[in-house]
Amino acid sequence: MAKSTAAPQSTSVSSISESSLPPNTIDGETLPLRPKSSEHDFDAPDAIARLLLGGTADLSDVFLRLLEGWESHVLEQHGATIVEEEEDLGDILRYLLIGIAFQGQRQVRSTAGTVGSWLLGAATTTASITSPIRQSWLFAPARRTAGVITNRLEDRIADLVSEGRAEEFVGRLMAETALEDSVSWVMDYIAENPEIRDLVQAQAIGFTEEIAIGVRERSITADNLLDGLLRKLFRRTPRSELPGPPQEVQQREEIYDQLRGIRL
Amino acid sequence: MNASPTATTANRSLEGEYAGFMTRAIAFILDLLIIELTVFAITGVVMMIIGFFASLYNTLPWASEGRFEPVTLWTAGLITTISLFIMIWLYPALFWMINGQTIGKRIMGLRVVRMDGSEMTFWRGLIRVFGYWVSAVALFLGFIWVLFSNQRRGWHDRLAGTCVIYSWDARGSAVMAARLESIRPKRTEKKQAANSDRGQAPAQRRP
Repeated sequence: MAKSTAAPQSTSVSSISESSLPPNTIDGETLPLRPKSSEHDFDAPDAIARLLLGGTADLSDVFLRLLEGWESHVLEQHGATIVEEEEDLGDILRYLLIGIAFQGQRQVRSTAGTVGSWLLGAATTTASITSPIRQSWLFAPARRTAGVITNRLEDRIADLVSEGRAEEFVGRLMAETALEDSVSWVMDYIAENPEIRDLVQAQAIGFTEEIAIGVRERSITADNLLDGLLRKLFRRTPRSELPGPPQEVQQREEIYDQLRGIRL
Repeated sequence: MNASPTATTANRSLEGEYAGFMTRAIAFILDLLIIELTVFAITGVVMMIIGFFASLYNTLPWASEGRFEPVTLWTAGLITTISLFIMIWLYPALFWMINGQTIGKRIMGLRVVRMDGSEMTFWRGLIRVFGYWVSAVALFLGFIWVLFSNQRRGWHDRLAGTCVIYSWDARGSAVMAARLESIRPKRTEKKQAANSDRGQAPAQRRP
C-alpha cells in the first residue's frame, strides 16, 4: 500500500469514539481517523456504502487467507510430486481442460497488461510529440490555467485517497460488528423457532415462481392499460369487442399444454 | 372503452389470447440479456482455448524465432462478433422450433404460434428473426406496430405468419387493478367539480 503523507480528510462518522477503535496505522504511521467534533449527522446512504465496502474488503481478505491456507496445507501434505496413475482418454481431456483454464487466464492477464502498456506508451508518446507545441508562447495562458487545474486535480485526488482510506477502515469495523450481531441474532432466532427452518425450506422453491407470476400479472395489467389508453385516444374498437386468435392457434396452444403435461 | 381493462383482465384468464406490448418487450429484453451473457461466456472460453494452444505452439522449437500471440483485443472482438451473429439468428429460431418459447418468453409466459396452427419450423423462425431486423431498421416502427394492431402483431409476426399468445393462466394483477380503481373515482369527482364550476362561473360574473 502506498504511503500517504496527507492527513485523511474529515468524514461524517464521529459516533465511534477514537478510543474504541484500534489505531489506524499504515506502514507504522498512525493516522488520525475522524473529526474530533461530537456532532454526528447520520447519513444512511453513506453508512450503507461504508458497510458494503468494509464487508467486501473483509470478505476478500478472509477468502484470500483461506485460499493461502488451503494451498500451503495441500503442498505440505502431498508436496508437488505427481503420482503416476493409469490414465484414460477422459483423464487426459480433463487435464487438458484444467491446463486450458490456467494457461488461458494467464494469457488474458498478460494481454491486458500488454494493452495497458500500449495505452501508457501511446499517452507518453503523444505527450512528448505535443510537448513543443504545449511549451510554446502561444499556449502560455492556457499553460497557466492548465497548471492551476492540474494542481486542483492533484489536491482533489489526494483528498479522495485519504477519505477512501479512512472510510475503508471504518467500513471494515462496521462490517465486523454487523456480521457478529447478525449471525448471533439469526442463530438465536432459528434456535428459538425451529419451524422457521422448515418454512424457509418449503417457501424457497415457490418463491421464484411467485416472483415470476407477479411480474407477469403486472405486465399484463400494463399491456391492457396501455392498449386501452391508445385505443381510446385513437378512437379504435375496444379490445374486448375484437375477436380473439383463430381456433387453430388455440388448438396449437392446447397441444403444447398436453405435451408439457407429458414431459412433466 | 366499454369496460375498464384492468378490471376485466384481473378477473378472467387470458390464456391463448394475443399478448400485449409490455410483456413482449420484457421478454425481448430478457432474451437480449441471455444472448449477451452467452456471447460473453463463449468469447471467454474460446480465448482461453486459443491462448492455451498458442502457448503450446510457442514451446515448439521452430517457434523460437517469433512468438505467436493470438490473444489480442482484435481476436476477442472478432470472436464476439461471430458468436453474437450466430446467437442472434440461431437462439430464437431453435427455441421457437422446439416449443415456441425462448427463455425470455417462457419466463414471461408467452408463446410464438403460427396463425394457421401448424408447427413452427426452423426456417419460419429465421424469417421471424429477419423480421426483427426489418422492424428495427424502420425506427422500431415494426415493434411499435404491436400497440396499434388489432391482433397485436408486429411486422416480424406478419412476415413470418405468426402471432404471440399468453401460454399460461394469464390474469392481470389484482393489486394494480385495485390501485387504479381507487384513482379513477377521484378523477371523476374532479371532472364533475370542474364542470360545475364552469357552469356557475358565468352566472356569478353577471352584475
